[in-house]
Amino acid sequence: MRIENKRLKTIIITYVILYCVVVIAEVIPRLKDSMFAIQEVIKIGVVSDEIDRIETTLFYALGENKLLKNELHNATAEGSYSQRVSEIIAALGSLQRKSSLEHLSVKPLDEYTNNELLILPFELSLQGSYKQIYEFIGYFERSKYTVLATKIQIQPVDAGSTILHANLYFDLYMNL
Amino acid sequence: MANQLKHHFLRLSGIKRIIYIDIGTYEIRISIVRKKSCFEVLETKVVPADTNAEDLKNTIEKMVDVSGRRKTGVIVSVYNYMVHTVSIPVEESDIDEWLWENTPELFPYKGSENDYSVIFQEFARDEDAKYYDVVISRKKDIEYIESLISDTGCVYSAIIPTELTVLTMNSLDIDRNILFIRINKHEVRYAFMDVTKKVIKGELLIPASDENASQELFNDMLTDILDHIKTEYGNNLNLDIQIIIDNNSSISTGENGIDGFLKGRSSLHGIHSFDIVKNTRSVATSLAEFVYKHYDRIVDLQSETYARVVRKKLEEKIVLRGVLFTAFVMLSLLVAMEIIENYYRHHMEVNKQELVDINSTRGLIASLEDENLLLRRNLSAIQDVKYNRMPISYVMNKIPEYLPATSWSTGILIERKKEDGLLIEINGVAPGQNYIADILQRMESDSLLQTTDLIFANAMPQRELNRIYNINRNNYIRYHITAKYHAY
Repeated sequence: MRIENKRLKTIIITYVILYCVVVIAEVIPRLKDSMFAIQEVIKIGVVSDEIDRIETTLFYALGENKLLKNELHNATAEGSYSQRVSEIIAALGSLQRKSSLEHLSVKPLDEYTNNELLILPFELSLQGSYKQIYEFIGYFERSKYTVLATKIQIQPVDAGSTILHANLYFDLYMNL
Repeated sequence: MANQLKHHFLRLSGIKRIIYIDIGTYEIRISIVRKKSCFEVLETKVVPADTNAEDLKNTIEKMVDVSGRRKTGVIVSVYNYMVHTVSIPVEESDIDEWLWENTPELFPYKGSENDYSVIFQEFARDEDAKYYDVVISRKKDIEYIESLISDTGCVYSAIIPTELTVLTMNSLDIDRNILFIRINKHEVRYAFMDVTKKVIKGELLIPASDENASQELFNDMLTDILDHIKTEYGNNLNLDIQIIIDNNSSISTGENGIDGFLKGRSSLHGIHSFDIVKNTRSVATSLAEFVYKHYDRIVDLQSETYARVVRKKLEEKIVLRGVLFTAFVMLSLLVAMEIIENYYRHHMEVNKQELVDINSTRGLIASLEDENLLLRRNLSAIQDVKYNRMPISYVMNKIPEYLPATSWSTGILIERKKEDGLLIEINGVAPGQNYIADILQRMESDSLLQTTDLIFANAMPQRELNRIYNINRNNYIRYHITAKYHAY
């Protein structure tokens, strides 16, 4: 099949040239862009296959975090420093009433940290019978707070007296 | 590929229907042939041969509407032509001129060279001469047909010499002599083509006869035709012939007619090998298909000027269709690529965001794992404090067990030291040495105590004892005992 009409031949040649220009200027760059986009999607698609695994890991990490925080929350005092001190004093007051101690003074000492735990030392002065002091310490050690009695000095108020004066040193463990 | 394109020239120009006009001596047959998977006749109309041009045009227009005609080609099949085999010197280039000057017998009608339409086709050549099948028709007839086609508004046209085209069509597939016999109502037209493409054409009138005499008539007719051919070839005639019969007459083709005549014959008028083919498909469909497929190979009687116009129309149609098609393809391609690109770009953006999310999630996981590690350490420290330390209250509970009822303590110190463990210091007063020994024994018997040391045990002066405790007795002893627990 040959086109014999010269005018038509010219039209065809012009059209073919235009067509080629469109292909070169428009189709090929678009094709390249499309190929790039497809490649990227495939490449990123491979990475996104990890989403499930990552989400599972995150789920477990969050769960563990919550669990650990709950456990720490249950075992330690939380809140601001003043909140904690006043809370401890209130708790000590309650324990004092419970153990019928006559006198109690509380003196917070300089706190220090161990890992992320804040350790708040207290010095308590109190008076009472040996039993009362024993019970007070027992209550305190068994309380919801993590406290460690580090030192206790007991001596009678007067020679021969059954009323004892005790100096107690406690470390109160708090979560930062 | 080039051949395929050539063969699809008409298809590319969008021609799907052919109006086949068979102009016979007594009648004109007009058939609409449609090209689908194969060619089929949609409709046929027969009008008398003397129908004027206007009526003929009206008939065609009734069969195909205006829009349909733009996609329709016209093939006019004519019989009113002559075929001669001519040898022309090899060096001769102007065949028309040479024919007019050297073979005046080919142009029987009076008039000038311009009164004839001459088509010639070379079929053989040797050292001295070229051999041509020359088809001669009257220009006036051709121009009349061209004007008729032009008026119909159809795109493509061809004016074909019927017998010659049928022979050419059949000679494409086989390599043997072919005899085409067309039996019309009043005459028989025949044409013979040998393997070199040399053509002999003739016609016979059919005498009026009884229909029952079909076999006899056919036999006589065949004898006359073969005699004519043998006259041309003499003894050189190859008698291996394929005979094609197109019967449009009242001669029966059944058992009482041609079929019955041919049945069981192993030879026919001296032809030792013959093969009768009755056109199972109509000549219209066969010729339409042949012209459609072999557009550039047919003998077309159209004038050069008119053929050029037709060709131009076809080319314009093909170019227009080609431009539209390729533009459509390009547009579709661009739209498809735009959609694909947008689709994947959107996915790419989403995926990039996912990647950012994944990375931030990874960061979150890392920080959570760090935090969890710290929390575990803290919790471990808390649990160590809570469960692994000996409570001082426990020690305070044990101390009264160490001291006999008659001794008393003047001071107790319990201190937790990380290096040494839990230290106990007991200061007290006992009524005798044996009580001290008792205290030490009690303390040593406690398995939790690691060491027990008596630091001092001094006698307490009676005066001091009396002053402090209001006890007026001797032998009271002041003691100081230290002990250490295993546990911290």
